[in-house]
Amino acid sequence: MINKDYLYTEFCDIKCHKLQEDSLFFYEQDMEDRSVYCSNELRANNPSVKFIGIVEGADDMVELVEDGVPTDTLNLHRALMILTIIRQKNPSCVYLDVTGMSCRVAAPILKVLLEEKVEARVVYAEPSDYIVKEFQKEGLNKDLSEMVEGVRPLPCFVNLIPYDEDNPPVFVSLLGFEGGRFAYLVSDQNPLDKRIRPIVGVPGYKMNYPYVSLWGNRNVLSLRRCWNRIEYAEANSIVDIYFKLDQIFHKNHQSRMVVAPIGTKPHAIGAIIYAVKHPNEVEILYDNPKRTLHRTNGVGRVSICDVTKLFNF
Amino acid sequence: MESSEKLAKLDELFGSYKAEWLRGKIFDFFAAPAYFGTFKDNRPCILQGGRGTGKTSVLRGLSYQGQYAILNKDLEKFDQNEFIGLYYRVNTNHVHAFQGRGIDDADWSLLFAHYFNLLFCWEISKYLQWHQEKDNYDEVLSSHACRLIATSLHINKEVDSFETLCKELECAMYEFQSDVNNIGDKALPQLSMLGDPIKLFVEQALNLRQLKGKMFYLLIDEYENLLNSQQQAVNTLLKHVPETYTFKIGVREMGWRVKYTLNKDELLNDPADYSLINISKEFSSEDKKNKFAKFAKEVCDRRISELFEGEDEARNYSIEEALPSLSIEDESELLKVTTSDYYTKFVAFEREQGKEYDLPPLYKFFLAYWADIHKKPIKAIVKDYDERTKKWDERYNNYKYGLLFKIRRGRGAGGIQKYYAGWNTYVKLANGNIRYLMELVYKAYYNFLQEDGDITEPIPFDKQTDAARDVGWKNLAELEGTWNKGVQITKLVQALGSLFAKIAAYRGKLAPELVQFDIDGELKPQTEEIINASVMNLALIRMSTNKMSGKEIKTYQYSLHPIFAPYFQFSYRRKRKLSLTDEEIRGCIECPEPTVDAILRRKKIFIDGEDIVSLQPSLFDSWQ
Repeated sequence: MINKDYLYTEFCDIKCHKLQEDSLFFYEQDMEDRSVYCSNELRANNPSVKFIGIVEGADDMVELVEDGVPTDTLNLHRALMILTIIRQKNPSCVYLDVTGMSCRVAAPILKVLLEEKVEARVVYAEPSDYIVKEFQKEGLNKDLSEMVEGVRPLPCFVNLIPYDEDNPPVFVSLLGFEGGRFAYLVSDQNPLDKRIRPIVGVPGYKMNYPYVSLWGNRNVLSLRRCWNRIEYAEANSIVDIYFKLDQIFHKNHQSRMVVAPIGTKPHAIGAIIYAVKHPNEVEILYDNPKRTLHRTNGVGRVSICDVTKLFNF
Repeated sequence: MESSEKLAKLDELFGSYKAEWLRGKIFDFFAAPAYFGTFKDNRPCILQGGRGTGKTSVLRGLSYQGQYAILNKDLEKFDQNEFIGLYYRVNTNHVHAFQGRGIDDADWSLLFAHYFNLLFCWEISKYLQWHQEKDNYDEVLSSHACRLIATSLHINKEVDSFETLCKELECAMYEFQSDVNNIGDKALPQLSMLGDPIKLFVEQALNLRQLKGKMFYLLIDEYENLLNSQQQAVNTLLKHVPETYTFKIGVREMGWRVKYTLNKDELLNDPADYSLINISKEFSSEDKKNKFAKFAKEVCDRRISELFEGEDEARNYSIEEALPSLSIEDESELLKVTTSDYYTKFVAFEREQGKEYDLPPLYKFFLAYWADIHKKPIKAIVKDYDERTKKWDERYNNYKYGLLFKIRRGRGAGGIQKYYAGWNTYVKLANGNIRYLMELVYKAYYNFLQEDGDITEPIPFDKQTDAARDVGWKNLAELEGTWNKGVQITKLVQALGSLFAKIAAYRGKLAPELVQFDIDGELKPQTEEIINASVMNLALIRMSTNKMSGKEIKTYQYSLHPIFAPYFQFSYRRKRKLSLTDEEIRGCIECPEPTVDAILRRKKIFIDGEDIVSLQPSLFDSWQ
């Protein structure tokens, strides 16, 4: 499949990049400096843009912070509330910097933006490298309870329709470095092994990363004999994973699909957009990872993806 | 059939040993376990068992699709059944949506109750449609009945026929999904009372000519996935089942966490409210072990016979003959006891004395071994043997199985150090778990056929042993994902496996086949949690002891699940035990190697530098 990134994504020099006038820029700070790198750099050149920090609270409540001052509290399960707040600010475009943003925050906002036809862009700052040893240590030594909170649907992505037992869903898992999460989700859902489609990020951020991913997930790949059904999508591409999911969906005669976004952030975002596009056919399965300490170093390239255009494709 | 075709067929028949994976084919190979009759009666039933014990097979076998397939798709026979089974697997990703978000628990309970009603009403409508498609003479629900059912679910659309009811039920599911997604944005949707629409729909359906005198079975699989409040809601229905439907529930051990109804003072009791079938007790207690062997033989014979080309070959096939077993003496010879140090010493002694003893080589090994560990000359031991042969025969019988682990041992021994072969051995390794047994048989045939083995010939002992080791590894590797603290269970199994393997191979004064443990003192809550989870996830087997502790509390002893025995190489037979403290169990998880060494030292077992048996990576072995 030809990578269609060039149609939707630009890699930019963030220090002099101009955002659309009068737009909104959402970001969330996590434990890595990379999460605030874009918002910090962009402020100087984009005086008309409102930069809004998101601070996560308990039970999917978030606080919006402008210039250090809390302005609104948002329940991420209330799509109407999210839309109202965005509409009030009447932006020309909404930028969502997902670098430090958890999927529980990004998913409902993206859903509202795309469904309500608000111009949206996803910003992502790649790390310059991952501290691979940290991931490997986790996979070997850490319990899942230290890594994840457990299966619970993302806000606004609840699916309640039982599966057709005669035509079970295709189980797509976007693999990361830690195998425990894949093992846990496979054990929880018991998919038919022939219906498992693991997706590995290839090319990875670094040449050896796909092997790290395969090594981390080797037990399930081997035990469920799904290693020969591995698919590949560029690790840093929202667009590539979106079209890969589309390809799998059509190859399987548009059968229902359960997608577990447990790999890279761009993969998770691509999967979320695809699920918004196919609400009745695609179900997101999420294990809610706990935030951990530094596992990446530095800041690599910054990409801005026109997700509205991608969604409308 | 070419070898590759046979492998593909084997994979199809056996590789998918999970009922969940077999889907449509599950019914072609359905074999009813001994408890199936009890489970089929009209009372609510709870089928309790670890993963792989066959709960899903039984529940799906009771579903209308299962019964129809089992009865060779003969509608006439199917219609003679007195029950209609509706299968539902609880999906964590769906039911865990009913919590949090600032909505109080009482409201979530109401929402879940409505969801449960919708689910089963939809299932009933699907069944009626299914039967109608097969029998044109079916009586159809009246428009009044359809309106009543729709009204009970607050479906506010025009429903005047069964066809529109089916359509509207589907729409109602999607609408409800949308309502739950937007629950905070608007008022709660109109909800139905827990169980009312189901009761109404079932009553109306049973008035139909084709369903007269029947009963609906609501078959719920993976009950442990329900949240506590949801178990409470279903418990309430179970406690007050009407005559028109009943529940059949599949749940993991310790997965039925809440045993009361929405009224917390109202407890569910066995046998007053339901009958409990504990699969592991059904199959693993001494008096019932044959039941499992018989059931397992039926399951395996039915599948393997599909691999034969000729009907006669298939008819004459027997799993016992395909998986021959080894006597202890024969096994010792395969392990080359005649080249071992002890045997050689004994033969040298015989030569010295000019007398040859008419004893099996393993017995000679044993006499020299006994002399060595008791620091006595062989001559003295043999003299005693001559004087008290009967006593020595008894002792030999007691020790001989354990001796097999001491012939070829440690690093550099190479090859197989202990055989695990024979149908009876496989049955014991599976310990009442049908999935484990099928994995063993599948893997043995897979290894055999892959090397162009002849399907009509017995599988060699080494192939059987390799298969048993592979299956042990596979299940050890799978422990990681079975629970959110699966890594701790894996580590505990690795440490205990290494401990018992070292003890088995140890040449010194020690009772043979020490493979169990009990708890010395009190367990801290976090240790108890791991031990309980290990039992729940089939890492450990728990047996209650007859003794009562000082506090008059029932005490338990434990062993690793026998499926791990071939991987670590210890005895799968439950014989003797040692005691472990809370600290030692924690140590097995947190710092396994020093802890195992310390336990061995405490038992006065001194072994030089052999590490904990680690979980070998299967792909990219050279990584790290």
